[in-house]
Amino acid sequence: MEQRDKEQKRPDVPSGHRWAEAQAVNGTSADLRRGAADLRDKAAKQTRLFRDAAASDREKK
Amino acid sequence: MKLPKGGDSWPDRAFRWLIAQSDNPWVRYLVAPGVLAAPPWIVNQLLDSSPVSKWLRSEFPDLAGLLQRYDVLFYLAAGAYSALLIAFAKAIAKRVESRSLDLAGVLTLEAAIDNVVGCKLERFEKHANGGAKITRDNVFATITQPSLQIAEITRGVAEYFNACRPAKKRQHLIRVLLAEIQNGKISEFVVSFPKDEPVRLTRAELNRSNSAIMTAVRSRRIVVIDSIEKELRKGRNACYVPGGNTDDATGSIICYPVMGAARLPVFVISIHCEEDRYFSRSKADLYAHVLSRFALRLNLEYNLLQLKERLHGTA
Repeated sequence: MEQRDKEQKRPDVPSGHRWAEAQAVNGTSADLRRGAADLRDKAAKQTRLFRDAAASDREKK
Repeated sequence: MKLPKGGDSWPDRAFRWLIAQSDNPWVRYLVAPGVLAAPPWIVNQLLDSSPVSKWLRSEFPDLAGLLQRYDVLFYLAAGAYSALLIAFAKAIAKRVESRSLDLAGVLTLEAAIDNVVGCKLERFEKHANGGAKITRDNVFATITQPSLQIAEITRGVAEYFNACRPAKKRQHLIRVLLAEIQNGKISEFVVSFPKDEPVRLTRAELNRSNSAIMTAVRSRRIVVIDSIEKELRKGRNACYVPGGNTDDATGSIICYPVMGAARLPVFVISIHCEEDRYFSRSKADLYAHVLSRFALRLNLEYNLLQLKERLHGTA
């Protein structure tokens, strides 16, 4: 599984605060772009898989 | 995955009915070819000397006269009719389809949710493999990190909406804010993405009764503003509070309330795109369906957070 550097805490977030961990999660513009591109790639691969399977089913019929 | 079927206006219902009929073999192989072939056949019959032609001429003399006078034009129109009808059918299919996720959209959603679960799995695996000292008393507090998980889910929302955006329009990222709601007001900005673009408005500004977030809290329903610029022209009736930055006065926005116990909102997910009319009110059902997948998980983690706070004092 892809190791994502998410659990690092930023030094400026006060600890003990209810949402301190949440606010420490990484997610800059570059991170988001990478994440979105990763999702698109995964979805494209899966889409091909489903379409190939559907085409194969049609050929069998 | 079952997807919503889009708007409920009568044209939408009629179009969906038409699309559904196209799966019927009688319609596909008999009615549709008949509808396509009828006008060219009628024109042809009126212009030749068959018995049918004679009958048509006697029954519709005016039409027959017109046809004989402009025979070339009517032949062309009869040919164009088929092409126009097919184009109309395609446009209907596109309109109905555009209100639902396609296969790639569903799989992108699945991948976004898998990523969130993947983070939790990594943590569980780390502890399961003896990475930290676990006892019967600390196991719950150690392996559960609801605050972190809530941020991951919100990041999943941001990644999902950015992944679905057409490539040519990806200059600016779609921004996502998760606001915690207590007693009908924003108590905290939990997290926002991208992190290098902080929230431009203060809590006090967004707590004004006419903000999109507060409208979602009050109505307990998704709020979609197609065009912020157009919304602001409504003046006092606008459901949007502009910030000092001019970028905030343009684009489109979705605000989705995450309902907790007692059907009260515990969070609002706000999704802003700088492109005017990128989000469409007519697709509100679809956005709500997608966001409900994330909201379910947010609600679960929020309950876990409250449980953890009750047991251990802090999350």
